[in-house]
Amino acid sequence: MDFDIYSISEIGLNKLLDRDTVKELFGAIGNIVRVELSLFDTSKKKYSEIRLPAQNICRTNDKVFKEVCEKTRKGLLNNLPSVGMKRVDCETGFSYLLSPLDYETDVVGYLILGPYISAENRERTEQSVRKFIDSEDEIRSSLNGFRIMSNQEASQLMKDIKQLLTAFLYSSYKMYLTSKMHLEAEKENYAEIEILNNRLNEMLNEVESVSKYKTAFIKTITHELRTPLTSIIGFSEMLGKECSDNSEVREYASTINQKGTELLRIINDILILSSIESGTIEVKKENRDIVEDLKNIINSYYNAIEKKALRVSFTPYVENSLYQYDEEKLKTVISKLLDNSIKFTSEGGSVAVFLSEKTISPEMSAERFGITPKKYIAITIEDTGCGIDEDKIHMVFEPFYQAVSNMDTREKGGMGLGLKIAKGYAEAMGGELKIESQVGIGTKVTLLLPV
Amino acid sequence: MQFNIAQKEVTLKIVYYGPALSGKTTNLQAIHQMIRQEGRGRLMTLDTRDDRTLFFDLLPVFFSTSSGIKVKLKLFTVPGQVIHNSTRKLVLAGADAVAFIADSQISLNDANNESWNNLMDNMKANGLNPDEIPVVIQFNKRDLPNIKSDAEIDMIARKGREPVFKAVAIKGFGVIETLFGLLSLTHRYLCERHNFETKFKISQTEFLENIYKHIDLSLVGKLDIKPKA
Repeated sequence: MDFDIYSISEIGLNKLLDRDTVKELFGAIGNIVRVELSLFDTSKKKYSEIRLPAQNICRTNDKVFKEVCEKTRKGLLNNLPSVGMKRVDCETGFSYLLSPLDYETDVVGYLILGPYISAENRERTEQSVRKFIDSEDEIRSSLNGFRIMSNQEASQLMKDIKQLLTAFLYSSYKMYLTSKMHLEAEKENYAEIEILNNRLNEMLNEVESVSKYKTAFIKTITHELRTPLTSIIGFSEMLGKECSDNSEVREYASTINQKGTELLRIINDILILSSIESGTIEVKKENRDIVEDLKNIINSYYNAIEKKALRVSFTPYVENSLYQYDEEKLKTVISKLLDNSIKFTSEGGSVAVFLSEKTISPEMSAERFGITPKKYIAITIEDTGCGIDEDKIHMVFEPFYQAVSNMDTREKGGMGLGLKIAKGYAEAMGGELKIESQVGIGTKVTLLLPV
Repeated sequence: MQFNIAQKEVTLKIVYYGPALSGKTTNLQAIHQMIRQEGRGRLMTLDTRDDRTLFFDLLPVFFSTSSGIKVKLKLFTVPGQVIHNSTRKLVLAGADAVAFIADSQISLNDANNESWNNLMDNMKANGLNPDEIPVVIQFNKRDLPNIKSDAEIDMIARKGREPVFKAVAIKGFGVIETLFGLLSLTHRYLCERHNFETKFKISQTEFLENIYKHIDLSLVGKLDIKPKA
């Protein structure tokens, strides 16, 4: 192959190096931080003194160099993996190699050119080669591995290469800077994210501790209030019994007892509400007869039902009434719902309780991933009460909210916590509470509990 | 898609979406382990105290085309927890494609639906058309008990336009298939939308092969990524 040595600077890097090498170098982020260039005039020095730029084959002894001379044409450099050489093209007279290393440790690239023989000293070189090599053929073939240039040509070449090197270094350096900038930007992003992350965690901790403090505060206060209340309720009851002959005292004692019980219920509600909000509700499931339990809850309202002459019915549509659930929580939910129904249904009205089993099937869902068929126990309480406005129905689960006007509320009593508590407990049990209502017709509340 | 003319660099944003703990980060970790170093950058992941992604993870994957253009894929994950919606919305902005990582466990059906609906809402909020943007669905955790059957997954696949893949991301199964499924959709989408192939001279084969050649397929099934607690 004929290689015009003077045209290197015109050829440009892309043609000097093959595409794969360039791609390899530039493709992998390519932070080239060092480019080494060497040009040797092998004729000026003795063979044994010539240094090759690659680390492992610096001058050692004549024998080694003889080997190098012999093998250079066959691509010796290519066979030295420790040097990390990628390509040696002896045919062109130039061995260049590029070894982009792992970019994470910063790429180091070498561009090595050489060696050549000075035309003026050709004969001297030949003589010196003869000392090592006997066969004329071999001498000729090893010398053919070198370019022969006049000193003028060599200095021109040096100039060209310097130019090329500058361009090469410049573009490499620019690339290096750009990728470094990217790296810095990524690092900055990373640091920023970390700061944000820490701040978020701190905020979360703060909010958690405030919320814990609030819950602890409410728990302590309500507990402290409950203890004296127990005495008030207990002693007022005793007082009523002791003074059964004095009707005035008995009435006062009964009022104290009644109001005390009411206050205790409110305090209990606040206590439940705070544990719902802090998410600290524990569900204890046990095997129970749900029909029996519901009957007992309804029966406990006997007095209130009698007083308002309500028609109350209970219809269980289940074959087997044994289920696993938290009896205390179910009782609280159903009581809150019955409280409301009885409270807001006028005299002579009716309250109906239904118990059934429901399966919600996948066909009923338009969801992308379909739904898992689930079995529920459904307890429905339907009343013929005053009903709730359509625009107010979404508010009924808010704490301290009452759908009816203030005047009515005062008359009916309550703090507006019932439905909030019922919903909180229903969800804690893995179920849900649904409400439908029409003003003047009544309200239907359904508790769905997973089986 | 971002195109930097000075640097001849195209950047595509791919978002891994899905419910909490479905394996989005695991997918990225598996890709990170299977793509050889020269084809990818560092996996940036910020785990929080309970091992969940609070902000996002980012894995850059890159290659240069024969026409000299550097293509950079930025793979993002979003935090799955319901409360982190603002972060999810932010990460989804400007996305070119979405891989939805669903949990195969029957009990997590609702979580999948909720996250899917959230994805649709957030796409709309970011001005992305859910009917056009490339989306694939991956059913992860196929190695667990109590999972959706293959027939059920087929039924779900028929329900929409998104290609569906099955995976065990902690072992590396199905992860590359999902990524390649999404990338081929993305290439087609970019061609229709931005005339990608004509403009940048990157054919679909070149687009995929450039990434494929960096992948060590011998690692499929041999990975052992620790799932989050």
